[in-house]
Amino acid sequence: MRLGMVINLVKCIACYGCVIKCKEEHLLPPDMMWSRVLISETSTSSRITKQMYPVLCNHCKDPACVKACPTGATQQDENGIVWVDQDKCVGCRYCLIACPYQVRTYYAGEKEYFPGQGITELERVKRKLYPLQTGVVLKCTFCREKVYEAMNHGFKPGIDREATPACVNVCPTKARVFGDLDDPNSEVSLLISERKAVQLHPEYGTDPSVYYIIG
Amino acid sequence: MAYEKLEKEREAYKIFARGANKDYWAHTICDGCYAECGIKIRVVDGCPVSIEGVPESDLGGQGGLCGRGVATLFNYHDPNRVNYPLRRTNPKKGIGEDPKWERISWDEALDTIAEKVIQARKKDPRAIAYGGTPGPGTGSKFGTGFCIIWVLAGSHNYIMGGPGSHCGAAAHHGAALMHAAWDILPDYRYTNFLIRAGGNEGMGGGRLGTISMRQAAAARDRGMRMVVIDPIGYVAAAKAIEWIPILPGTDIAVWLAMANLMVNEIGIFDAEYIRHKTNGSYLLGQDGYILKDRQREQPLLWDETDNKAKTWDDPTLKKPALYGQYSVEGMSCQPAFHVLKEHLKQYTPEWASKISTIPESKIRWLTQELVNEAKIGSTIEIKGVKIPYRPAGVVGYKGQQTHSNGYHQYMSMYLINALLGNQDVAGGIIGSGTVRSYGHPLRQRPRFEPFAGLDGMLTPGQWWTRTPYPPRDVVPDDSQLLMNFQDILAQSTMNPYPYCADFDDIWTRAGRPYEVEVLAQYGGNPLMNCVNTEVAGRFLERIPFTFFITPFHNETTEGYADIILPECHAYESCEPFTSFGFFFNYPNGLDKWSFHVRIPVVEPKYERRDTLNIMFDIAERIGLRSQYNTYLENYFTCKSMKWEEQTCPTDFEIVRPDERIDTIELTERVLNYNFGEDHGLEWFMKHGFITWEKRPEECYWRWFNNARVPIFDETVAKQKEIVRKRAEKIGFNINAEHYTSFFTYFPNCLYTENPSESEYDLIAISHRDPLHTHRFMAGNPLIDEASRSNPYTYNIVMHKGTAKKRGIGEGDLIVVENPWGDRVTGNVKLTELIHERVIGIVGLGTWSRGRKFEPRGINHNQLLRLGARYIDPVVGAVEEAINVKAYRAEVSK
Repeated sequence: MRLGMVINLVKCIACYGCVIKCKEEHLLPPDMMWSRVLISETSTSSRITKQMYPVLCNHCKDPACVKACPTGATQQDENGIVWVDQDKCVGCRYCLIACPYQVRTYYAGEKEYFPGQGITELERVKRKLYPLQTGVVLKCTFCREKVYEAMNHGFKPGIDREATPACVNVCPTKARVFGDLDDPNSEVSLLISERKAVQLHPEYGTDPSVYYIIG
Repeated sequence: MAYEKLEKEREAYKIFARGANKDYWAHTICDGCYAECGIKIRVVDGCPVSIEGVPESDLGGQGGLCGRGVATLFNYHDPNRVNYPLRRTNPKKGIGEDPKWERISWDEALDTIAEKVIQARKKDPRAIAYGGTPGPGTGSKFGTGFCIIWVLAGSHNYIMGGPGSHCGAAAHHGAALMHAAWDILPDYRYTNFLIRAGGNEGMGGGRLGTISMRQAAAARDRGMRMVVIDPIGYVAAAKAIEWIPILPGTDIAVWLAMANLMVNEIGIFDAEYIRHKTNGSYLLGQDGYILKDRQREQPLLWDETDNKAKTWDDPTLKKPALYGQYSVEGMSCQPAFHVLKEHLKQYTPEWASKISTIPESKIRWLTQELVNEAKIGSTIEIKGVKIPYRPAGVVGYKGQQTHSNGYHQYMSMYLINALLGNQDVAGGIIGSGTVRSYGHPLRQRPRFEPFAGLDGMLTPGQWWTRTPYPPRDVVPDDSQLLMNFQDILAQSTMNPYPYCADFDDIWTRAGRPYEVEVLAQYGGNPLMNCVNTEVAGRFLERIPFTFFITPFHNETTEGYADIILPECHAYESCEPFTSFGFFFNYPNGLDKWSFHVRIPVVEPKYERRDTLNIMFDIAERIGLRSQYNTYLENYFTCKSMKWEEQTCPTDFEIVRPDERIDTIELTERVLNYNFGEDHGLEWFMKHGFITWEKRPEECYWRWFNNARVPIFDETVAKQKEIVRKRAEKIGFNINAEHYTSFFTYFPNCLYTENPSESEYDLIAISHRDPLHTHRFMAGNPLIDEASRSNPYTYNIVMHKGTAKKRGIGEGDLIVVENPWGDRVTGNVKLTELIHERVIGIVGLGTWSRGRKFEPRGINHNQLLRLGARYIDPVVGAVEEAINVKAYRAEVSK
């Protein structure tokens, strides 16, 4: 199984639902985003358009970050998810530089969401539910822990909500689809072939597992 | 002394702690904006930790939720919440003054408020002014739970400030007249071609938030084409096949030119719709007013089949004439449509192009696309019911209506839809939230529908603020002068007065008949949300007693509130208002009815209380509890859902006038009344929501109803002289020429109030960002972080070419200054997706010490002074755009 995602840009409206849900789901510290929206403009002689690309870790098939990691903390699992073993990470940040998509973040230390006003009940309770180590590199996990636990209970990734990443479930425009890229009949595979979905910067040669429907 | 009732009141909330369950998901309603989507919240050890949409419900994103909705979790946990009743101890009021809050008891707070209200009411009920905002997440609770008590107290000084007048003064008025609805949305399920002008609904904008987002996304994905006409190419434009820049406030010229092309050049429009569903077939006498039959005083039409005049409701009426000259009882007359057709001839696309800067060829292309795509005359069968099918239309919102010519501009846009015959039919433009309901199958409740009222014209079946139709009369003299001048501007439900630069002078000229003694405020932030803070502050400062019901401090509470009553956060709140009324949150189009309830996910903490319990206490203390109960009875049984006209029912089915129930009991009774005894709070806590199929006759009701809509509105014309006379007398310098029957071009004040050669050659607009459809989320750390990552949110957006001419580069700090010398400062984000003469600012900026947040973004309202020449003279919409100059901060002056 190779888990992947298709993001339909025809549907996406850059509402930041994915960005904010990702932060809420994992209670990412202030100023850390695993999911982002890149907004820009392009103009040709006939038309100027606004580009809005939601981005996250591409969980590349041939990930540059894994190669760069000197401790083996960054690894790829049997379903293609690239993840960081926080116990093994020494915070050298080579992977940050190696990743051509710049989707990795370094977690220096806990900060308050309401600066100077102490840790809220939310930060206290949620950090227990989703522990993060400091001094390590963190990134999108495709909600690995949740997805795998659900799969162990018989839920199917991308089909059942329980085994689907938070950013996919939260999307109010249903722009995101998750599933098995190895299964030619999965929704992600069908969308990629039928809608001619593309990877971002294929020239980097890392073969991302996140695809985009442009039109 | 602690509030003695509080502990007793809290007993009833114990059920919301869910017993021994330490980890559960609880259903409630989102408070991120007034769209009020159904959500569920995970609570761990009594702490809300996660928010999700509800996959099985159509009230929202079917499992999805927008970024704002998720971020509301941080509003709940904001350490700056108000937890106790507070009294200001610093007698000095003003912008940025430290109120030096002191905690007081509920009894003291409520007794003080009651005493002030009773005193003011004795003097003159109008001395009680009230305002607020339908947000965060409070929706119709503002009108139906809060404002109503002051209406019952005899005051019509409903002074909304910004949230109302920047919102839908023209849009809601027009939507009521045309759709019996609070607003409009495309029928995304079936529409194929859409022109969107000024508004982002479906692209993160406010109307039915995630419902519209998912419907619009699905429509685009199946090939719906959208063209966006807007001064700025923002999110909606990014999703359009084409963005066409336009000068602010000139859309009216484009609509009228398109109507002209349809009627006089292309000749394709829905004549059957005009005949049977509009007043276009009403006969107009030589005085330009509707000809009526002598006995019944009903409008007359000419039936071409029998060749004689008949009343609009004559069952034998077959084919009302649209053209020709007739004689009825010796009086010469013409169908209104004939007059309209002639009236429109003056509006050529060449002329509209010069005004709007949209090329003539584009206006012609858009018109042709609309009439081709509307498939006029076609029908579609939905669930076995034949419905007219018009999969094209035009839609707009704030950018369209928030102008000094907002009434005629918005109504001209509606005229296009009326000509296409697409109103409340499949694929067309439909009233947002579904205005006709047969009710849940078990009890046929809630049941409401629009009807043909005065002159056969469309009248909403329910309403939550001042009712828009039948029209009110202008008060003939100054005896009932209101600070919002709604006794003069009888068509205005909301306008920016008295928060206007010229208010004090007008009031003085009117002899200052009374002053505001008490300002009752439900949420809202008039200092920041309406107009320049100095102008708003000047008014607020004079009010001897202001109290707020709010969960948060803001700039207005800090500077001007005397008492703050701490409101529960939505996620600790139990009330039926949010579920009730189509204004904000009934699923649109053929989406299933989905009735969710605002039920606490946890018990409330500290001394925060539910709004309705607070209102019950205030009502009791000022002697209005019985009347308040009667209103609630009328509203929730749908017997009389009208603000001003309270009839006393003979049989009480939910609450009797003498009963003393609390908000939880009221919610229980409302649920039982509508869905049966076994469907109370407990059922909703377990199941979350109740859903049932919508019938096509409910959402596409237009041809199942005999009401007609206005392609002209003579009410307005008939008020012209009295409005002029009354306004002139007190020097309220509005342009009464706008009081005319047919929708007519009036230039926007941007192009008349400043000389064309003026140095203020740019126009600043406030556009909507998906994360900030209101500014009350500006203090939310997740929203702030996402906003900082979007270069178009906190910066001033300016056209590359315009910037270059002024020596302004990307990121430069610039000053934007209006003709009165008011300035805002910010960094520039350069773009090509904005009209060359326009500067875009997301209306933000916040600095209240109560929120402990660094100032973020820029407050566009700082550039507005407003006044009689800067509002729409009919409905009171504010002119939100403003002539400005812009220069680099380093070279200022």
